[in-house]
Amino acid sequence: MRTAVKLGARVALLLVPALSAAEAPTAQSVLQCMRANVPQTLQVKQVELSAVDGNGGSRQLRGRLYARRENELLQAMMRIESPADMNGAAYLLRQKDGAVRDEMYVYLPSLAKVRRINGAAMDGSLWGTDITYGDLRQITGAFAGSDARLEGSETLNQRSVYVLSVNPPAANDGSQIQQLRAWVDAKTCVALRVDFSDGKMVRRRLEVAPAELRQDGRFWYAGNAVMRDLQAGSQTQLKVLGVSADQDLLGRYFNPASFFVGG
Amino acid sequence: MQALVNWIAGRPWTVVLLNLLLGLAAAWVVVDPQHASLRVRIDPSIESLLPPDSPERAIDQRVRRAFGESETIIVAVQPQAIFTPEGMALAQRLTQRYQQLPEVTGVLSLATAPNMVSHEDELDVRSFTQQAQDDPALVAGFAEAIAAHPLYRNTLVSSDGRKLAFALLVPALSEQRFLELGFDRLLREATREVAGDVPVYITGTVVGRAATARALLDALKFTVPAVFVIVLALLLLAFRNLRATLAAALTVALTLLWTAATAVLLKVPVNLVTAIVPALVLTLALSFTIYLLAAHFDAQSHPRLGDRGTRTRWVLNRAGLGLTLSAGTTAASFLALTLNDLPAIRHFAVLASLGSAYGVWLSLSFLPSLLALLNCGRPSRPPPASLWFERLGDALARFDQKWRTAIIAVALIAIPVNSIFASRVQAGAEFSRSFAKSSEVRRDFETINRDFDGANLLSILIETHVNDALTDPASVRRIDELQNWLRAQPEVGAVVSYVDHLKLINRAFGDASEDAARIPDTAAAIKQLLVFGGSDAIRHLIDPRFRSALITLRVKVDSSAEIEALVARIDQRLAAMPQPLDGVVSGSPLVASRMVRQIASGQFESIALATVLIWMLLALMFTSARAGLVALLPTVVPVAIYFGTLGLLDIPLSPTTALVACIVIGIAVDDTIQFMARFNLDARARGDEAPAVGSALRAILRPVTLSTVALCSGFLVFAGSSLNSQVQFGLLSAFTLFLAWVMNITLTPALSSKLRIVTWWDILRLDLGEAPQLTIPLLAGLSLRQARVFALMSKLEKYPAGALVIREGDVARDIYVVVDGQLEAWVQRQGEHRRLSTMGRGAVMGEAGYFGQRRTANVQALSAVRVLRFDHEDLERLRERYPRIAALVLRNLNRAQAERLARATAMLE
Repeated sequence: MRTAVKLGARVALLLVPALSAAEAPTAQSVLQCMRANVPQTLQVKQVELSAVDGNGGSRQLRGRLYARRENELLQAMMRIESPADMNGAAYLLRQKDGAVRDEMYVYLPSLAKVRRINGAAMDGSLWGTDITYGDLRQITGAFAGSDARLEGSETLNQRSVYVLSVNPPAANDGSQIQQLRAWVDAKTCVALRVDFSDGKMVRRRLEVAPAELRQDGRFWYAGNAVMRDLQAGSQTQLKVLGVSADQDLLGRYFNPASFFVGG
Repeated sequence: MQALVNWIAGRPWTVVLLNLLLGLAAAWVVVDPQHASLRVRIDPSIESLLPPDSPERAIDQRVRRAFGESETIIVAVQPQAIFTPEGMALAQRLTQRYQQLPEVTGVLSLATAPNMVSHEDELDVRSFTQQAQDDPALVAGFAEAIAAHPLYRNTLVSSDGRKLAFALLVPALSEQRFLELGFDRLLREATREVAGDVPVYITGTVVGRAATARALLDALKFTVPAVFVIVLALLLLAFRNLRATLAAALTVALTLLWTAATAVLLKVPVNLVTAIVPALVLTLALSFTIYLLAAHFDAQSHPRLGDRGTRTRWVLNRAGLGLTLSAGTTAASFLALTLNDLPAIRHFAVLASLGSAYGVWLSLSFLPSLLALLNCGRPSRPPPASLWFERLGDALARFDQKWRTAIIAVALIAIPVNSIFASRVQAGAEFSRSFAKSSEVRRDFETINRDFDGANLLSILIETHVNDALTDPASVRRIDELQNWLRAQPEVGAVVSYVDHLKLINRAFGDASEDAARIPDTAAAIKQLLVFGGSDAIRHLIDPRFRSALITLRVKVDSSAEIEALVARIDQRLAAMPQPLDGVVSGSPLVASRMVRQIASGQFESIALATVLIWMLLALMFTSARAGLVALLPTVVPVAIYFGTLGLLDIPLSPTTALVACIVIGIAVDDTIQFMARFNLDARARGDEAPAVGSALRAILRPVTLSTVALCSGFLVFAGSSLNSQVQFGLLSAFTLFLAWVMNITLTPALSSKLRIVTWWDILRLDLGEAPQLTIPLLAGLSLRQARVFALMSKLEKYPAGALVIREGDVARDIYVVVDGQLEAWVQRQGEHRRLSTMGRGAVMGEAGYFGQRRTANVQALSAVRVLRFDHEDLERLRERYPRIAALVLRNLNRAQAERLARATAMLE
C-alpha cells in the first residue's frame, strides 16, 4: 500500500540546491538542502517498481504517482496502469501531523471498493516489495523530525558525501528501525545510500548510483534506486521515468472519496 | 618388513623424537594459540549431515531463497491471565523486550499479528494489543476471535488458553552464535524481567541444534577425560608399572592428537556422528597398547633377550602381526562406511580408520621405543590374576575342544535365527527424544508440541512454472482442498498458505454482511487482493510472480518413521493434483528423516563390504580362503546377534546405531587374529594343534579380556551422554563387543583346533636359505612362496651338532628334508659304527618310515642343522589346502624314491 508513497519519496530525492561552499556543513544544513529537493507540488509520471525475490523471480508494477506537500505533510496517490489485471488499482496516503496516524486508502477495481486501512504497521511491506511505509516516510520527509547528526564526510562511488545519522522518532507503530545512516551527495543533496538499522544490524539498504542522478529544473532526484533486504536477499528497484514538478494538481487526486476515479 | 622392525628397534631415540615432533605439529594444528581454543568445528545441524547435492537440501534451499529464511524460535509464556487488558499489555511488553534481543529481526505475537476487522468502509489491521490499548473492552472477545481464526488458532495462544506464544524470527542465528550468546538464558532473563517468575518454554530448530551442540561438547568434555582415566586405571591395574602406564597413556594421547589434527586439516566438523570418533580412537588405541605391553612384559620373562634392541625386535615380531592385521581390519571395516551417501558417515569412516592406523603405528613404534628408553623392567611379581587367567584358559581350551561341534553348531544356528529378528529392524530416529526425558529442551518441545498443535514445521512447495497461475480461482480452490485434506491428517496440527490470507482479506474487503471467508471468483480480484491487501506474511507464502507458493504445516509427530509415513501420504495426494500444480514436501524434519533412511539403505552394503574386505585381508594373511572364513565367523555371529537384538527390542537404526556393526566387525576380529596368530606360533612350535589351543588361550586370554574390558568401558562412557542416541550407541557397542569376546574364547578355539595356519608374516620371515626351490630337490618346481608354504605346513626343526635325529628301529612315519647343516646316516653292526652316508642341504631321509617300515639307520647331526619334518597328515592337509603344492611335492618325493631305487638296483648289479 505504501509503495506509492515511497515512490513519492524517491522522487522527492530529486531536488538539489547544493550546500553553500562557504559555510561549514551541519546536520541541519544538509537536511535543509535535502528538503529543498522536494517541491511543494509535483507530479510523477510513469514510475516502475520491480520486486525481485531470492530466486530471481520479479513482479513489476507501472503507474502514475501523484504527490504533493501540503503544510509540509506528504500526500501521495498512485494509480496502477500495468499489468492489465491491476489496471485502475489505486492507493492514497495522507500524512498526518503529530501523533495522529496517517491515513491510507486502497481502491480495488475488481471489487469496486475503497477501504480505509487503519493501523498498518510501519514495517509492513509496500505491495510485497522491500520498501516499507516507514522507509518511505523517512525518505520522503528527508528525515524530518529526527535527531540528526553529521558524522563527517567521505567519498562514496567517487563522490563527496556527508554521512548523516538519524534516529527516527520513537515508533508508536511497531517499527523496528532505530537508526538511519545516509550518505548524502555533497553536490546534489540526494542520498546515494541509506542504511536502515534496527539498532543491532542493517536490515535494508537503499542505493543510488551517481550515474542515476537526474535533474529537473532546480530539483535533483534519483532516476533509479534499489532497496535491498539484506536478510531475505530480495530487492526492489524503483525507477522514475519522468517527473514534472511545481504543477498544480487537482485536489481530487488526494481526496479519499474520489482519488480512484480515472483521469 | 624385518628391516623396518630392525630400524625401529635400533633407533629408539629417533623414533620417539620423530613421533613427538609430529605430535607437536598436530597440537599446533589443533590449538589456536591466539584465542586459546580448539580449531575443531562443531556442527550439530542435521541438514549438514546430508550430501550437499541431495534433492532434499536443494528444495530446502530453493524454498529459503524464494520465501526467506524461516528460522524461528517459539517462546511460550504462561502468565496468570491472558485475555485481560493487563495480559495484553504484558504481551506487548514481552514482544518489545524480545525485539531488543540480539539476532531477533521480528516477533510474531498478539502485539504484532493484525487482527483484521472490517467496519463499513474501514479495515482495521491493528494488532490485538493495539486494539486492547485503544479499547480495553475489546479484549473480552479476543479468545473467541482467536479460536475461530484460521491463522491464529492454537498459534498465538495455546489450545487451553493459558500460554502466550511468541515466534521470534532469527534468520541469522546459528547454533554457535546461540551458544555464544547463551540465547536461551537471555530469553528466560528477558521474560523474567518483564513477566516475573512465570513458566517459560522455548523450542525451535536452532534451539534443538544448540542443545545438541551443547550436548556434543559436554559429551566430548566428559567422554575423552573419562576414557583417559579408564586408560590409566586399566593399564596400571593390568601391568602395575607406572612408567609403562604413562608411556602407554602418552601413546594414546598422541593418537588422539594426530586424529584431531587430521580432522582440522580435512575440515571435518564434529557432528552427531563424528563426535564418537575421539572416544572411539582413544579406546582403540588403549586396546592396541595393551597388546603391546603384554608382549613387552612377556619379553621380560625371556632372559636370553638381553639387550634393549633385541628385546624390542622380539616384541615387535611378537605383536607386529596381530596389531598390523588389527589396523588393517579395523580400517577396512570403517572404510566400508564410505559407501554411505552421508558425508558425516564418510567423515567418521575416514577419521576412525586413520585414528586406528595412527594407534597401531604409535603402538608399534613410539611405545616400544619409549619403553626401551625408560627401561621398563619386569614387574616384581606376576601381573594380577595372571594365574587365574591361565587356569581359565586351560579350562576353556578343554571345554572348547570337548564341545567343539556343539559350539560351532550353536554359532551357526545363531546367524539365521538372529537374521529373522533383524528383518524387523526399521530405520528411524525420534529427534526430541534424543534428549533425556528430564531435559529442559525435551520438556519445552513436548509442552509446546502438545499445547500448540505441533512444534515441527514442514512445508509444501507448490510450483506451476506459469506466471500468475496461482491467482487462477480453480488453482486456488485446488490448494484450498489440499489444505483441508492436510488438516484432516492426524499428524497435522495446523496448515497455512496464502489461500487462508486471501480468504480473510476478501472477507475484510467484502460486504460486512458476508460472514464466511471465501475465494474470490476472478483472477484479477485475487491478484489485487494479494498485492494491495496482503500483509508481510504473504511474502513468505507466495512469490512475486504468483507461480510458486508455500503451504506450511505444523506437525505433532517427531519420529522419522511417522514423518516419513505422513510425507508418503502427502506425496500421493500431491501427485493427484491437476496441472499446472506440482507439489513437493520440504523442511528440516523431512531432511532428517531422509537422512535416517539413507543411513539404513547404506547399512547392509557397508557391512557386506566390511566383511568381504576383512575376509580378503584374513585370507591373504592366512594364505587361505578357508582360514579367512574361519577367522571371520566369530565376528559375524555377534554382529548377527546385534541386529537380532535391535529387531527384538524394536530399536531403530539411527545415525549412531548404524555405526555399531561396522565398528564391532573391525574391532572384534582383532581378538580372533590375536588368538590365531598365537595359536599358529604355538602349533608350529609344538607340531600339534590340540595343545596349542590351550597354550594360545592361556597366553591371550588376559590381554584379550583386558582389551575387551577397555573397549567396553570406553563405549560405556557414552552412557553418561545427555544424548540418548549416544547412550544407545555406547550400550549396544559394549554389548556386542562382549558377545564378540565370548565368541573369541569359545568359537575361535573350537574352530582353530583342527586348523593349520600359514600366515604371510610367517612366509615373509621364514628363512630356507638361498633359492630353496632350486637347491632342495623336494621343492623343485615350486616358487619361493610355495616352498615356504610347504615348509610352514611342515615342521621346521633345529638340532644341535651331535643330536640324534633318527634312531634305527623306531617306528615313525616322518620324512625329513635337510635345509642346512651336515648329517650322517650310520648303523651299529657288531659293535662297529658304520657310516652309510653323509647328507647335506636337500637330502631326503626317513622315507622308509613314511612307507610303514621301521627306521633302518640312525641319523645324527654333524653340525647344527635345520630340517623340515612332515608326515602323512601334513601332506594330506597340504593336499586339501594347497593341492598344487602337494602335487609337486609328491611328484618330487616319488622322483627321489625312484632315484634311490635306481641307485640301489645299480649297487646290486
